[in-house]
Amino acid sequence: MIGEYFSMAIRNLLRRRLRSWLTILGILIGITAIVSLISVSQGMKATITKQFEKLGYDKVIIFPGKGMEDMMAGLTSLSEHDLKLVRTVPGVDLATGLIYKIGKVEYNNDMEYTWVVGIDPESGKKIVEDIQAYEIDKGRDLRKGDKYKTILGYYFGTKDIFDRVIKPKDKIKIEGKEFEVIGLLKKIGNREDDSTIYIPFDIAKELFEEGDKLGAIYVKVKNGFETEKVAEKIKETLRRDRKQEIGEEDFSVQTTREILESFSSILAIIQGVIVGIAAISLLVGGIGIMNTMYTSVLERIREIGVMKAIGAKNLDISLMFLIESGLLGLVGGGFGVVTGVALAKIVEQAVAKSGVLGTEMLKAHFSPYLIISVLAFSFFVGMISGLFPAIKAAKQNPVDALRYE
Amino acid sequence: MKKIPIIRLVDVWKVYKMGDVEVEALRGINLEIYPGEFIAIQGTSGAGKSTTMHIIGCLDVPTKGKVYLDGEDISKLNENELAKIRGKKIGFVFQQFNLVPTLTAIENVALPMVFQKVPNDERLERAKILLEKVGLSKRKKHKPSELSGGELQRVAIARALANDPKLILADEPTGNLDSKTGKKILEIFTKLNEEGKTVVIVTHDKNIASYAKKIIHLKDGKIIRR
Repeated sequence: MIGEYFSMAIRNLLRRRLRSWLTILGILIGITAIVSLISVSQGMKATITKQFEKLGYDKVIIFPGKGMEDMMAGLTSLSEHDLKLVRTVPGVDLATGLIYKIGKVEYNNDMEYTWVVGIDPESGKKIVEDIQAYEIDKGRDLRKGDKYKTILGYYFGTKDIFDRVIKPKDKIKIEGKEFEVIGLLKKIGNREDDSTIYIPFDIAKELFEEGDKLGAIYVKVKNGFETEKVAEKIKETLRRDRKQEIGEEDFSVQTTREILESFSSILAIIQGVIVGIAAISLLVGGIGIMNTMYTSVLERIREIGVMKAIGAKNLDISLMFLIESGLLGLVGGGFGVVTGVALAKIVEQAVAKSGVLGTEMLKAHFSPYLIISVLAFSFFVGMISGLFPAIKAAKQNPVDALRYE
Repeated sequence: MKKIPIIRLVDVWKVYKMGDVEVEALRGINLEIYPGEFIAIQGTSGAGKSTTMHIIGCLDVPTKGKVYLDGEDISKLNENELAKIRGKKIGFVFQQFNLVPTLTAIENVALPMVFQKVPNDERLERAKILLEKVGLSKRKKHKPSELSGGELQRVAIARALANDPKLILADEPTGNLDSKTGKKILEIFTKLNEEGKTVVIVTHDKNIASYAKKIIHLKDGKIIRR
């Protein structure tokens, strides 16, 4: 019986093709927005999670100030004294200090400003490699004893930064000093990391006249120790050394898991806002369905009267109209999924081409769960939008409906 | 043994409110329709024909009075209970044919059986037989828009027979047809009555009423002559 109603609903929708398509378009736009936005942000989340998994949950990073932003802003409240203290905390396997500076880089009469990172090849390059996720592509890595040698990010090996491709053994100037390029890195997947320059820690210290100031301290926790507990211990040690109260710290200690969580929660907020906006367009689409269904009920009052005369109960009539409006939603949802996926792919390609985020950052993620729930939801939106028109249809008095001209 | 009437109207009144004015469409109708009868309800426009038909057809309930269908009082039933009775016991034929435009002839005939939850195969089989009965087996796949007036009314008659009802109610069934086609339709009703169906035709036309075995004249909401 329900099958009959579906077949009748489809024929009724086809009877007024243009109106049906226009109504479907309303839902299509909303679903397109939802599918593309969710799949892109899901993809972003998946990529971020994967990157964090790669670097491992046994890392702790100590930033000056409130966190990463303050480090980027050049705040330096950390020093080599702190590094020494951190190394004494039980559970700390390796700890290393880094210098983060924006530096002037010259090559072939061309000049750029970029991140210059001083890393210690001796005291824990292993951690830095993990955290920065860098891998040598051409040439070799920094070694103990290297002086004016440098490792360059992926984009230096392309024509992206300078007009000419840089190869190992080329010479570049950093902050006016000449450095020999000894290695180039593989693509990491985000613009910033892929245009960073690495130089030996001691040279960076000298070059930027940093004294014993550090941009950040990276820690690897020993096997068998809980990262969160070690991080807490580090925080406590530094606080006691600085004679600071809880909440007054001028530094912050974050585990990789915490950083991931803060990324995820920011992403969740963005996702929520975006989906909320998309939901408004879906609401408008739903109102479109309601409008179409009301018109449809008015046009078919006589038909409703006839159906009632030949034995249709109120429930039969309302079901017919509900299925019709549900189908409007479902078809809109179906096409919306297709265009949403297409749009997400286009965004993915566009972002990859522009290189703003790098290819890794934006791989739209389409879970079957998302698609099925979107389809179910769009059918549901259709049904809900058709509810009042369907009730109106069912409530028609058969005598009046038969007389209706 | 005394026969039980299919329909019995006992002092039926129907009063409509139109704004502040009350219109008495029916004023104390008493009527019995027995199985196998062929009755015409005749009257001028506004005499209460349609209202009578609506009450006989269980489309409406009286303001006052009783309606018995197969001896059962239906004057207090609700919309859904009436729908159930209509679907099973009454077949309607309308002046404007009133077929569902999106359905083919055979689907239109099968539609009342959908509401009675008859299985699909059985529905189509029976609809086919009914279309053959009204001489339209070759047009069964056609949509209403592709059929002539006479064909449409024959499909409508086949539809009225779908659930094998006891009573066929026809409201001006030839009103939209030319006289030759109208005659053929009336012959179908005569034949159905001969086969044992109870037929009630509502009309203003005494020529049409003359096909019936019994004529009931209505005027101003009252039966004036039987």
